[in-house]
Amino acid sequence: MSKLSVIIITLNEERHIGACLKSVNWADEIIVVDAKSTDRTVEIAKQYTEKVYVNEWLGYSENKNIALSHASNEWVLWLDADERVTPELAQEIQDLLKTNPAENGFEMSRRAYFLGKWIKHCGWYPDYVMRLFRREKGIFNDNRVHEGVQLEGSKRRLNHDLLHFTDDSLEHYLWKFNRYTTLAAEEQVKRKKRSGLFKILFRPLHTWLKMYIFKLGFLDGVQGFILCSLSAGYVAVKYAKTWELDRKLENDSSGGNNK
Amino acid sequence: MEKISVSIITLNEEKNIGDCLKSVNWADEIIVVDGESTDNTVEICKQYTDKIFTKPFVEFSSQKQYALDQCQYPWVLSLDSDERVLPELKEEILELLVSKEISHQGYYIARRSYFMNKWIKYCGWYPGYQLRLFKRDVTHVSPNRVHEGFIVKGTTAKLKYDIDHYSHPTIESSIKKLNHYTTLEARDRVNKKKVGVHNFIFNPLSAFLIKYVRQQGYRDGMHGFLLSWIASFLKMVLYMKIWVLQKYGDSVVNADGES
Repeated sequence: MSKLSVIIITLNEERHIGACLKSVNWADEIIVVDAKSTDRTVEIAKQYTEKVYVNEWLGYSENKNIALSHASNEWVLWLDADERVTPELAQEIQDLLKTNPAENGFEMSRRAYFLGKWIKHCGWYPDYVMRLFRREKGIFNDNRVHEGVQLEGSKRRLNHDLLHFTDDSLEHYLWKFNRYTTLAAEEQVKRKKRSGLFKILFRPLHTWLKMYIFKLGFLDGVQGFILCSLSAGYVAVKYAKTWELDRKLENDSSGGNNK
Repeated sequence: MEKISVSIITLNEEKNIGDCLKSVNWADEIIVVDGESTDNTVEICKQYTDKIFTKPFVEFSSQKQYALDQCQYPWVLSLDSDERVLPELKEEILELLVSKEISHQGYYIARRSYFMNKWIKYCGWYPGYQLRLFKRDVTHVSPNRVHEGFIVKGTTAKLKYDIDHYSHPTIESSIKKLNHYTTLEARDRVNKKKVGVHNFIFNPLSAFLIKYVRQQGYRDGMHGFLLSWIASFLKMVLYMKIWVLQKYGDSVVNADGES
């Protein structure tokens, strides 16, 4: 039977890391690469594995590749700290590895939880991610925010799900919302995209209708409504910040100082 | 001539405090009460005054009362770090202090608040009179948690000139404030009326109409629109946070699947 290494990178994940590691305690090896957490992450991780390495934060793909380099088994399962392997998925993976499959990579769908509820619609499910692969056939590429595995060879989908506990606090959600919309606005300006009242009004409406009506978000209850509305707000703020930044750059370059 | 103290409380205000203190360098003394800033605030204050006191920040009213207690002159001007006294206002105050008989014990001052560097004249922001100049002996701070204010025993009047108020320099800073404020406010309101989806729709809508139409925010152009939009987004986030607290209390429980 082929053996499995689980790899996880962490930074201040004390709330999540215990439950995450517990969900893969059946694996042959667990590698944790911690980017100098200041909370109890490392202490908790050590209860589940001896292979906890501390490495400064170099970026998502860099730290994941470091974790990958510590893995010693034929198969690798990569997880984020806010994810859990369901017992059904664990069984499926164990059965799979016994058969010595022909593929080099396997995708699984993720169940994302928002404010305590599994969001089945809104375009959030199923959200297939490639997480299980032959160690020698995969490497993490350096797409800045949404890093992924570059896989050599074929892949296939598994039947069971991964759990993903995204946001259980609106304060934290809005903190990310604020940060990401600023980055997204900078990206818009860099790509010379313009913004104005029309986009600020109608793009969010489009997002809301798409998620809530066409992708059946109304079936996700109050959480579905909150998620769709905040996602629409995200789009509005992104375009508002684009307008703000555009205007600021114009003022700066025309030598205008309107303070 | 009557002498005057300026009273200011700070907490991590390195971006603002220099310009603020510069605008009152004509006062007889400047009292700064710092709530243990971790940035350069105190260093900058030292360039303008040696009367800097440190008191751990608990809430605004007790912090302001403490600052008031440190003032030694009969008249006090209370200022926030993001405010500046305009030159015309300085002259007006100095003229008032040399007059033989000062007719009132307290004076209200109008504020010009800026959003993204533009003075917002509508949206209910101007003049927004604040009681900021008063006789120390007859004044104390009212112990209200969020909207603290001064209470003056005696008669009051309005001054003619304004304070500049840089409260919302960017959309990002506005959303940061919104996030913080709604978290506090939601905790205060959790035991009041039960909140539902209708509050996510109608309260924001009415907030927008009040700012943009009734308070004529449209006359502030795009800035007025964005400000009204943010005010309505704030209401939506507030009710969503109350909903989460009413449903889960302080920690969200991730329900499995069907609910």
